[in-house]
Amino acid sequence: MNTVKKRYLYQKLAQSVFWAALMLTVLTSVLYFFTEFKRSREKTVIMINQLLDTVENTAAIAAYSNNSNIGEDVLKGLLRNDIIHEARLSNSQGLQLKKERNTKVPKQDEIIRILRSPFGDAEAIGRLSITPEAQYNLLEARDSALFSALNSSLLIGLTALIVLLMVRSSLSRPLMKVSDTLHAIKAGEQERLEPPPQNQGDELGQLVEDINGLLEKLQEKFKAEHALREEVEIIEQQLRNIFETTSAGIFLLDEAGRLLTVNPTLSQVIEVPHLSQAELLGQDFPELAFAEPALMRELMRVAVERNQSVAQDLRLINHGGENTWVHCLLSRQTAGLNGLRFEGVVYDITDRMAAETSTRHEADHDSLTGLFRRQAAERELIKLINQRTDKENAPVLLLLDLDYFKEVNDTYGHDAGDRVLVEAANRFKNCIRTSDIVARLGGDEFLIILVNCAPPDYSRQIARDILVAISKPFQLSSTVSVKLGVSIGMTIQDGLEQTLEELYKAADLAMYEVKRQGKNGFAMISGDGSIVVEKVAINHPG
Amino acid sequence: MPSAQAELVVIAHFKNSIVGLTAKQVQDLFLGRERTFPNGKFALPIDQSSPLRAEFYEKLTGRPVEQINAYWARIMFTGQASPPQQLPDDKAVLQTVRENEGAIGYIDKTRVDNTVRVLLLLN
Repeated sequence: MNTVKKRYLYQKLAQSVFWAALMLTVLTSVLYFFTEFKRSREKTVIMINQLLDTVENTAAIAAYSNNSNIGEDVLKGLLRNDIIHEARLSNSQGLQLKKERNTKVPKQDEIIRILRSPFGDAEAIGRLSITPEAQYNLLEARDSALFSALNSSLLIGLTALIVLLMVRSSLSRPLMKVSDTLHAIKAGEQERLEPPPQNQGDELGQLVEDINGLLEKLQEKFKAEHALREEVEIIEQQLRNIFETTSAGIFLLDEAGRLLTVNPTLSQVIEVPHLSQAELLGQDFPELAFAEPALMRELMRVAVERNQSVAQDLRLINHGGENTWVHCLLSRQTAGLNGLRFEGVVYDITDRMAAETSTRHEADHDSLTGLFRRQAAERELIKLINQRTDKENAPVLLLLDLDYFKEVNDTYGHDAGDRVLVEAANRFKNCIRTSDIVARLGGDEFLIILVNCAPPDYSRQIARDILVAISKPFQLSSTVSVKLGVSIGMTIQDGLEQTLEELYKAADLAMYEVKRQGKNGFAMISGDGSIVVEKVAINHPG
Repeated sequence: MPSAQAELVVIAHFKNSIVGLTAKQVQDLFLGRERTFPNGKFALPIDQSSPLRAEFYEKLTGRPVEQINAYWARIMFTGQASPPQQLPDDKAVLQTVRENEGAIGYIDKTRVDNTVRVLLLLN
């Protein structure tokens, strides 16, 4: 599988050894040449001195007797020696003899021997001088150096070869075997290296043992990791199932509120089922989903500010059906590293909202007439009072009590009474504006709050309308109808300081005055506390 | 031997103007190194074949006579020179010296007379 040509260690070693050996050989040879040259020179000087010893006598005779023949013989004899380049003989009587070899090499220093008379007083009579042959020394040195080079290269080469073979057989081969086996083993497998038998206990043996130890650990790690991965996969699958099948919409937003990740349910929850998961990505979530995107953006801001989960009920964009509400849980993502991220969940709470609404409705409304109960009406009234900032827009309080209701109840029964109450409520509602409030305080007592109704004439007109409406007969069945009336006490909150109790009290007083003056009319307490009861002429058929 | 104790004299023709010679000058003449007297006149050294010869050379050079012979043998081999003529005894030497003006020889001191000039005494 590995086609790259293998570079064996011992081959590298061989190359290094070769070059090192070559260098060493050259170095030793050069060194050897110079030492040998020096040695040869010294040897030559010794030999020449010996030669001089040999011929000294004869040369002295030649010098003494001034005999050039003998001198020539001596010089010729000397020149037969390779180590001599030039020989000269001279004496005090003018004899000058010279012999030389015709080689062209640098001259070396002369060796001079003073010749003394062979007889008598050993007087100096001449001199014999010899120049050694440098060529000879060079040749000698060169031969020696060559021999040395040959010798040492042979020796070094042989040693290197032996070392190489040793390395190859005892290191490279076993290492190669180990390496090949190791190469074939896949991580986490059961297989182990076999320690080379010759290398038990040495570095290689230890290496193999250590590798086996590592393989063992690796296998354990692999097993552990495998188990862990399976576990993680299961958890991941479970989480994915939750993510995909949950009825809640799950999403991830970037800093600007664009969708980064969504689960398949999200499009259903936010009522855009025509958009696929992929199409949702990158869309501006607040704009896409919510009726009031600003609320969602505010939620995002708060999540960052508090750095914790925040939640709010939000209304979705109405696509033509009923209003849909979702509960949105949002938190800043802490795990991610790349910028600000939000993760969140939305789920449909329309049903809950509806249930809540109906509960509240039941609590606030009278089950029979559908009108506000006292508490709800008072809540609204307090709200109105609190909202007032100036003398305009004063609310008007009307307390109403049906006349003769008790008699109807007693005569025709509770069902008939109930029917009368329902009908009366409807007639009240028809007399006022939708923004006004009608409430049943209990029994046959009602409360009307006219919102923003400052001119007293206007509220009096409404009161008149109510009187007229109630004065019409109440049809209890196809054959039975009854006539009733209503007593109305009115008061205007013309000052800002009047409390609810004071208003009630004033209206109550006015109503009481109407009842006292024969019922079926209305009265308003004016600023000075006087009460004027007004009645309406009822004049209609039947 | 009586001759070993003998004193030797170096003699020349009575007309020879040289008053005396040193042992070295005599040695140079007899060993062929010089061919003339210090005054430039040609010199004819005369040797002896008698036992006196060994004594003469030993006293003159301090070397055994065999060395002198070897020396001459070498010189003769080159053919460039030859050793002095040898005469049998003192009498013959005296006779030759008297007859040749440039001659120079040696004899026992006891045999010397007025007919020759003594140049050096060797003892």
